[in-house]
Parts: sequence; C-alpha cells; structure tokens
Amino acid sequence: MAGVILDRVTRRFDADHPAVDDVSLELRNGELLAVLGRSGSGKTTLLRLIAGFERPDAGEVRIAGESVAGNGRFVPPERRRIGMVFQSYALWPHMDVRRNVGYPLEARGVRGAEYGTRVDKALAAVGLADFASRHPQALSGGQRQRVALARCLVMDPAVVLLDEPLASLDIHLRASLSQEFVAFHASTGATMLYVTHDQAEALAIADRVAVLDHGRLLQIDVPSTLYREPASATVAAFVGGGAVVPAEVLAPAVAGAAPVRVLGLVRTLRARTGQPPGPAEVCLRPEDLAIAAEGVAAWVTQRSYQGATIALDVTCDGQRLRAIMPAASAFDDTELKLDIRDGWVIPR
Amino acid sequence: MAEAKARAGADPGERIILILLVVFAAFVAILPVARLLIAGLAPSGALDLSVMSEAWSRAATQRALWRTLVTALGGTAISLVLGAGFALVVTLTDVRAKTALIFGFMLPLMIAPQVTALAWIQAMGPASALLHLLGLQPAAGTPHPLYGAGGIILVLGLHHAPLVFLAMRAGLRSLPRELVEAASASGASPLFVVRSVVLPLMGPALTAGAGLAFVSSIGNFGIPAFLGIPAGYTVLVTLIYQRLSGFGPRVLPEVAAIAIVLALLAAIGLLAQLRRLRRDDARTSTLSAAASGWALGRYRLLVEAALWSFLGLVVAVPLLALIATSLVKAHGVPLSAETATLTHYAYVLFEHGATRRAFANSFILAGLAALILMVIAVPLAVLADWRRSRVANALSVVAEFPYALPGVVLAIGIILAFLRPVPVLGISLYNTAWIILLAYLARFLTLAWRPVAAGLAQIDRGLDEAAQAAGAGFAFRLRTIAYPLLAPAMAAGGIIVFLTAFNELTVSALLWSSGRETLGVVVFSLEQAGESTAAAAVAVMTVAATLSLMLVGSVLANRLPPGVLPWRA
Repeated sequence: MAGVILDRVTRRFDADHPAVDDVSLELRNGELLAVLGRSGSGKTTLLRLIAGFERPDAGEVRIAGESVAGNGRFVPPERRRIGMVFQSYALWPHMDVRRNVGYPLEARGVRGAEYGTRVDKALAAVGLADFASRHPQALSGGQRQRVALARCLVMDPAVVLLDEPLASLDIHLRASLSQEFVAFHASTGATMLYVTHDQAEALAIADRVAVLDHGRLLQIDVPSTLYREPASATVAAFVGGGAVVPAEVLAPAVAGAAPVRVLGLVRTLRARTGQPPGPAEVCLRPEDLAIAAEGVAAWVTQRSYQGATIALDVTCDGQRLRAIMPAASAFDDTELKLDIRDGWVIPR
Repeated sequence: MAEAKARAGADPGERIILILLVVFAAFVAILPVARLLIAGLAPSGALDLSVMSEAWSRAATQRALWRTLVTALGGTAISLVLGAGFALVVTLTDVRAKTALIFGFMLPLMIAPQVTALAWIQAMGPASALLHLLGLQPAAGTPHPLYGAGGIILVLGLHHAPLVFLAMRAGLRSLPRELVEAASASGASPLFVVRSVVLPLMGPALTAGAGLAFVSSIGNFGIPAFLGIPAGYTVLVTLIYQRLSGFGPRVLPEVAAIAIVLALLAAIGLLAQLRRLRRDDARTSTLSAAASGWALGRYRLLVEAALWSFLGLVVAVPLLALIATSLVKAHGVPLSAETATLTHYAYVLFEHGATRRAFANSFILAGLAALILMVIAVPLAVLADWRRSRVANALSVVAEFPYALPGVVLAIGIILAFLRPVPVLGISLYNTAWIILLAYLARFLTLAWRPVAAGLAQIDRGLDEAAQAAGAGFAFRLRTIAYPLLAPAMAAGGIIVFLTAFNELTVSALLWSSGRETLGVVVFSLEQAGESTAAAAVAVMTVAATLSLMLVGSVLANRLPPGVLPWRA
C-alpha cells in the first residue's frame, strides 16, 4: 500500500511561475524519500501540500489510500495523521518535554493510562526518558530534534514530514544528526519524506531521492542511479558536481553502452539502451577523469588540496572540468593529458 | 480568499470565532461611525446638507473651529520641538539613566489630560499652594495666567510631546548606523551630522509624530475644558460637550455635523502617519544609529542637568502643586505643617457619594474593558497573522478607527447607535454604565491588539503549524499554544487599556449618567463646582494608581517585544 501519492499536483502563488508544477510521485510505505532542490525549487511547498498547509490548485493528494486534497475535497492538517519535524523544531517553550511529546494525544482527547504509556514509549524510543520534565530551552540541539521526532512517533503517523531539519545547524552536528534520522527510520519503519537542499545529505540518508527544480520533478531514483545515471543535464550538474560536455554518439547503444566521441577522444561510455546516434551530452564525474600518458590536453586553472585527494580544475577543449585523484599522484605541471575512464550519456 | 474559505470550512471552530469577531467589530466600530455619518449628512435617508449648513452657519461654531486649529497647531509645534529634541539627545548621546529619563518624559502621556490641566492650574494660579510656599503667587483676584489660548497651547504641547518623542525615537532606531558614521568619517561634527543627515532622514518620523500630536490635540477634551471653559474660550470638542449637556439628545444632528468636520480634520493628521506606517518595519537587520551614542565628554553633566531640570519643571512641579493643593486645609491657604491635612482624601473616599461610586465604576469599567479586549485581541491577531485571514486583517485595520477618531466623535456615534433599544434584543443601553463599556471596547481594542500583534510577530508560526500537524483544532490551539505564549503581551495590552480607560474623560463626559460617573467626570465636576482641593485629592490618587500600574508593566518588560510599553521605549 502506498504511503503518499501525489497525482499531477500544481500549486501556484502567482500566475506565471507555479511553485509546484504538475508533480506526480509516490512515497512508498516505509520508505525514506528525500526531496532535493535549491531554495525556491518548490520543495517546501511540496511538503506543505502533503501536510495540508497548502491547497493544490490542481491534482490530487492521497495519504494511506485516502484522498486528502483535490476533486473538491480538502482534509485540514489536523485530521491528516501526519507527523512533522520543522526546521526550527517548533517545540513549545511553555511546555515541558513530556507535554510537548504528548500533545498530539492531548489534542485527540487521549487521557489517563493510555496517554502515559504512549508518551513513555515514544520518549524511550528516542532515549529521552530522563529528560521528560525539562523544558525545550534546557536541551541541546540534538535532544530537541529527538523531542520533535518523539512528538511525531507518539501518534503513529501515516507519514513523517521533515522540513530541512538540519539546515540551521553547523556542519559537525549535521553529520551526526542525519545519522539519527537513518537510525530512527530503521527502528520505526516510518514512512518519511525529507526535504533538503543538501545533495550529500540526501544521497547519504535516503532510500530514494526526488530532484525538484522550478517546481518540476526532474528525476526520482535510488541515490546510486541518480548519481551514475542522471536523467538530465540539470540533475547531472546539481547532484555530484558533474561536468556536462557536448559529445557525439557514434552508434546506437547496446546493452547499456555506446561508442562516443567526447573532447576529441572516442570511448565506450554508459548509455541508456536505445540511445540513438547523433549529438548528445555526456556527464563526466571528477573520478571519471585520470591523468594519462595518452589523452586530451588540459590546462590546470586551480588545485585544491583535500587531504587524501586533490581536486584539479582544468580547461580542456574549451570545457571546464574537475578531476579528483590521489594526492600522492599529483604533480605541479600546469599542462597535462587527461583520459576519460567512464561517463554517462544523458538520455534524450 | 479561496484558501481562507477552505480553511475556515475545514474547522468550524475557526469560522465561528471569526464570525464572532466580525459581529463584535460591526457592533462597536462600524455601526456608530455609520450612524454618525447618516445623522450629519443624510438625516432623512438621502443626502441632505441642511443640518450641516445650519450647524456651520453659526458664528460660535466657526469661532470654535478657528480656536481648535490655533490651539492644536500651537500645541503641535511645542510638542514637535520638545519631543524631537528630547529623542535626539536621549537616543544619540551617552547621557546616563536613559530609562528613568524616558519614564519621566512619557509620564504626562500616561496621566489623564484633565489631571495635567488641573495640576498646571494649581501650580500657576493665584491660589497655588506651591507658589505661596515660595511667595511667588500672582495677586489674588487676577485672572489665572493659564486660562485661555496660551495655557491650552502650552499644556497641549507638553502633554503630547511624548507622542512626537515615540515616533522620533522609533525613526532614529531604524536609522542605519553607517549613515551617521559615514558622515562623521567625512569630517562632520556631531551637530552638523544631526542637521545634515539625521534630521532630513527623520522627515517621515517627524511628520508622523506631528500628525499624531495634532489629531490628539483637536480631540482633547480635558485640557480645553479645564483651561478654556472658565475663560469662555471654546473649541469644537468643548462646544459639542456644552451643547449636548445643555440641550440633550435633540441637538444630536447638529453635534453630529460638527463631529464630522472634526473627524475630517483628524483624517488629515492621520494621513501624515500613513507615510510612516508604510516605511515601518521593525525587523531591520543593520545596526541602528541608536546603538552608538556620541560621547558628550565634559558637557555630559551639563546636558543631564538640563534634561532633569526640564523634567522637574514640566512634570514634577505641577504634580507637587497638585499634591500640595490636595493637602491644604482650604484652597488658597499656604501649605505648612499647621495647614496640612488629609481630610480631603477622607472626604472623597468616604463621604462624597459620587466620588466613591466613580472609583468603583472606573475600576470595573476599565478592568472589564481590559479583560475583554485581552481575550479578543489574541484570536484576532492569530487569525490575521498566522492564519492569513484577510477578514481578520481588515478587522484589525477597522479597529484602528474608533481610537484614531477624536473621542467625542465616537461618543456621539455610540449615542446615536444606542439611544434607542437594540432591535431584536430589546435592551436599552443609553443611560447605563454599559454604554460606556461599549465605547471603551470600541475605542481601545487597537491598544490591546498592538502588543499582542507585536508579540505574535516574534513567535515562529511553526509552533502553531506543529500543533495543527499534531491534530489540534483551532480553538484547542488557541487555548494551548497562542494564549499561554502571548500571556506577557496580553498583560501589557491589558495594562495599557486599563490605564487609558481608568484615566478617560472625553468619552465618559458625554456618556455618563447619574450614578454612573467615572473618575474623570468627578474630577471635572468637583473642579467646576469650585471644590479644587477635593478634585486634587482624587487626581493625586489616580496618578498614584497610574504610576503603580506603569511600574507593574515595567516588571514585565523584559518578556515583551521592545517598544510595546511606551514608557519603556
């Protein structure tokens, strides 16, 4: 059974630029789906459409099989059985941790022993049983996040929506807290939708990633496919920092590979079966390039030492590329020869 | 709009509360203003200017209009100089004890105008206990130096200077520091920077402050009533009062016609403020010029001495004179150990029936108004801000009118609207205390709303959405989220409403009936009856109550958004 289905959903705040433009996607039961996009891409609007804080101008939203928006129907957020983690965490400063966590039960009139048991269970699940009587102001950032998660968990939501929960934290805390989401997801099996602008974060934690740009859904795939086989030049450039260069496919692709002329070299690169011959674009990841004795001439414009590796920004045949190689293999020449080891023909 | 409807449709609680707010606003704000316009402009249903032309063809009305303009413009000029000057010095220099200076400067605004007028009468008159103490009293039998245009202008100017101060200070706080520093770095001396950079940029703030002072001056009743009526110097507000109290409801169309012109004058002053409202955004990110104070160096002590002497002269001396009058055995007798007595306090507290009733009435009316408006302000602000309801947003604008209009204008509108029993319900409000409460609710809603709206703007809207996502309906969220979080702002609004209503005279002077006197009314009646010592005793007690409440408010101040309490600006 599906967790959440968006069927051709559009939301426009002004006539010309829809914030969410004809998006259809399925959030599977028990899945952690990341929605990735730059600021203004419509990702937060998408989340708020699912939560019910926005009303679609067209299309339908279904949660756990029930239509909650569209076709003249509109179920308000308070009756959607959703859990939501806000960027600010939105913990109520005038309530202690216990009451914060128990609030969804309080709002539904759950009282007495059942209230106590369920709040205790949720607090234990996030390891905050000892902090029940504290106020949010007295908690660390990580603890606040866990209170927000426990508040979602307590009412067994159909879907947990997370709106850039790590965006306001510093980089060290982000890594450890993002792993807490993975652990939370693994232990609860909750269906989760995670909105972020950070592609590394999305690739690291999600089962699948949906890429949004200008309100349109560009691609939805598991992280490795998204990285290795971007569906468009936009996705290729946004996810994983790949260079997109013009190329020519020399023969139809067979069994996922095709001969391609790129940067003056002819190599066999990965391609979607059925890719026709002719002009095309190729996505070259930094690790696809290597310094070689034979290859295409390139000029180094910048070197960035990164510890184990070194990143070289190069100009090559009028294209700007980035190559990453072990720091030990680097040398100081400004002119070198590059070979193309791998690449992906962007389908059209 | 579609969105608002959908939301309201989804939660019946939200829709019911919005409808109640609309009914409330229609009842207290829209209906009285509409009745006033009809009475003055279209008494028989169609547009008919005969009432208007009859009222304005009288020489007395024309003279009162002229005097209103003279006193209001004169008072505004004084307010402008004092308020702007005080704001410049206190905001841009390193004088010490700024909180105390501001508290002292704001005090006249918080004290009732009739009390201020009474205090000045006591301070400067031939019977002044204080001047007697110094041997400086004018000769007995000479007319009081403050009766007439000059006195009205002076006291109006002092009373409304805090309004200009507030506008100017807010303007200075939003002036980016870099603009001042760039001028200093270019070699400009502080005085030159003020003249060439600060004052030109404060144009909108000064216009707004002057507009507010002008509107408050033309609508003021207490000061021209105490200083003008004894000298036969009548302005529009006192003219309306005299005609209405002399001839009763049958002159209502005529006073409505006068009130409409008064409202038009107020509209001019309000337009000046609009310029500021558009520019006013508290959420500026750059450091303000107020953050860095110019060091006055060796002049600091001199400047401080000047500021404190000024406050002593215009705030402390009149209040001391008032206290002195309330303590002397008989009016006009010098105050000394032998002549000091507390009998006037005992008289007004225990013997004089009207005063005793007035204390109770004013406490109950101001308390009820504060409580009701605190409760109403929260859903109104939540709907307008968090819930983006355009209807609620419009209501919060409508709520400004009864406060912005001169009090007599609202009072006449309320009389016209509730003179006859309310249809359907069949309840008659005229000649009861409830009509005064109704007027207070209309007039002061915006005072309760402003701190709550400012407090709400500082709270993450996510706190409400999180509760909604957690399954809470609108009424439940109000109870568990909005009210508890906004409690300090509500309290601040309640204190301001209570203080204003408790000291109120303009509206109740037209709406009171025997047995339903307010404190403002009895101070006025006692003074008119020549019982100055008793009037002073009542006035001193209202000032004491006002000061105590201001201090209670100050205790709350660090839990409030800045600028919510005017005396903590």
